[in-house]
Amino acid sequence: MKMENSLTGKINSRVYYAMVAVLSAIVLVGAVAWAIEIEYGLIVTNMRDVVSWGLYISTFAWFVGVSAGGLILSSSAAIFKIGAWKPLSKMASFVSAVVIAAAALIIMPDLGRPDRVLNLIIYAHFFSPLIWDFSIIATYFIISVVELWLLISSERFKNAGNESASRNRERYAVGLAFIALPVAIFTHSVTAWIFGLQISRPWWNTALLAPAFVASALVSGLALVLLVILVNGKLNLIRVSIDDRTKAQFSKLLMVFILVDLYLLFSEYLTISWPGEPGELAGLYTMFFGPYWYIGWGQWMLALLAVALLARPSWRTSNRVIGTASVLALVEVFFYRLNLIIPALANPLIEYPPGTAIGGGISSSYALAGYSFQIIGQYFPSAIEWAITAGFVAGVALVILLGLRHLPLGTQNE
Amino acid sequence: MTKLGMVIDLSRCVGCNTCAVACKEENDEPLGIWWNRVLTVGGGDYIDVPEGEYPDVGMHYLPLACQHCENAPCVKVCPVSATYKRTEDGVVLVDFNRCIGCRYCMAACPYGVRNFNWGEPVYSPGVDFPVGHQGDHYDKYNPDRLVYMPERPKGVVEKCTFCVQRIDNDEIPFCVETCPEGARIFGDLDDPSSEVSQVIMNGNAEQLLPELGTDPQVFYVPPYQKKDIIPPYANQSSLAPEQDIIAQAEQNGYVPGFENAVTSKTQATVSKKEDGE
Repeated sequence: MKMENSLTGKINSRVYYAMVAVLSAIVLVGAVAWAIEIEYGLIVTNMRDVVSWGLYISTFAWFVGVSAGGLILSSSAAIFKIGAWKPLSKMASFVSAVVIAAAALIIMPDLGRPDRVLNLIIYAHFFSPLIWDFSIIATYFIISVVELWLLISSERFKNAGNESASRNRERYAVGLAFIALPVAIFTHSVTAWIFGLQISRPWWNTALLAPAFVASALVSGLALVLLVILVNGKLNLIRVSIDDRTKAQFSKLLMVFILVDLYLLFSEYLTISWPGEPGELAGLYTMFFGPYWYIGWGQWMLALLAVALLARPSWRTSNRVIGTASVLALVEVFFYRLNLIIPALANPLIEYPPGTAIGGGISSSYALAGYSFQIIGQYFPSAIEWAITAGFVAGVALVILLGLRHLPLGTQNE
Repeated sequence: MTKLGMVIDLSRCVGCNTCAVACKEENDEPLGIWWNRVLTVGGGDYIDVPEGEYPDVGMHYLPLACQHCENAPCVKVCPVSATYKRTEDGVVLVDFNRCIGCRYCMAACPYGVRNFNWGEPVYSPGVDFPVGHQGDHYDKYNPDRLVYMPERPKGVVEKCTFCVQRIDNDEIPFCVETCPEGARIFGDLDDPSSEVSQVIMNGNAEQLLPELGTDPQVFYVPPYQKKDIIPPYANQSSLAPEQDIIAQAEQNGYVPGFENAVTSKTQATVSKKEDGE
């Protein structure tokens, strides 16, 4: 059975344009917030010297993970010759390209000097994991785009009756998939290593971080692809055929990915807590009992809820269940990124009064009231940070929608 | 090779914060920025609070600034090499002209000694006159590197430079010069006969968080010493202890600022003694 709405029906233009309008408005608000931030500096965020990375970097790490699904799906389809996934390849590669571009771009509002971003190329310091990450993200983006182009042009040739050229392009696409898969794995690993190679914060320095990032990337990546399939189904933008068997397969995969991710996390938390080393425990304690407890527990609640929904075989083909589980999985992985970055940064290794100076640019009344230091970092994103981040997320959704509408991402012949 | 480093005798430090304030002044640090802080290792969330219950109480101070690590995580992570370790003397510096403000170094530093300019610098109300070192300073060995500027640009990271504008002119860091207790000694760690090396050796000085392997060029003499380390005057001549300190200090060509630590009375004694000779 095809997804009910993947037939050549008319597009649901009322909902489509409403979504485009709402998303554009959010992007606009984000752009205004960004302009304010550029004018006044990062002082308009609530990051300070103790928690010096916040919502932007968490979202960056989240985007990198979310971009996984597309490329892994399309390259797995090619490498392992999974026929049922092939019709999704173009759409999946497109989603990957959009999300990884957003990941690279959301670094910009986090930079104190975005005007100097080209220094990353001019003065690239190849020992820095950040340079590795930019390099591999750029590679990943290029591969996604080239893969997409190969798949589209292969189909074009096929439609034009040029079978040999079509097969040729497809062969290139399969060849590229062999590069794309390891590149994807490394993209997530390198993003983990940005944190995992550091000895400066509790429980970052663990070899498990890269595998955990790959696992959570698979969770969030697959979830986004599923969500895009469902939204496309509602809006009827492109023809994507997906049968119930494939749907159930994806649901089961999503469940397994979540369980693997939770297993890795559990192993990590046990390893941190059992020896009872105070510095390591502090980070964990902040995560579950500190000011961010709802994120700490929330991740587990959302993940387990998604697993519960997907555990029942008869529910695995239900659009409603898949949609809900996908949203839960996406938020769960977002919480994971927040959990990794904020409680760890909030707990510096040296915690003696008066603490760490909070940084320059704070107002004199604030400083003179005695708030120049923090022992434990305090952080909750400011309205500007929320607006810019929401703008990026909306931007991703908007570009995906526009792409589905205007790019040849579906299958033309059935 | 020269390897500039510092040793801080915690058994001498009285937590007066002179070094922190002197640093803030010399380096024209805006509100919210403290390159050099004096932490209380005691019993709570507030400074100057000892741990334990009377009479079994304990407390000491830990002056904390950039450790100028040999194996500096900040240098390793900086994607544009804005933070770099000077090969000539091992001082870790930040190039104000190159930093992109990604703050990876702040996440990577285990000591939490880096400050970011989140906005335009703000100074205490009423401080509308120039304070501290005036004029930009470029690294003596790498003249394209802008390593000190009194007018902070927003969006870049900064930290203790061992007062690069001073050491490049053969002066010692301002915290060392101003410490009223003479608790700080600065010099060449690679020269075993230098005073800083001697004090590190004699005082069993330790590095901070040594298990991380960052190998700081700042050392600390432990706070609870049976004897004074700078300078050692136990089992010495028949001179009174204060006089002995001065005599030792003179012999050692002792640190500037040290004379501030002793009373004017002993100084008078010393000058009398000198006159007599």
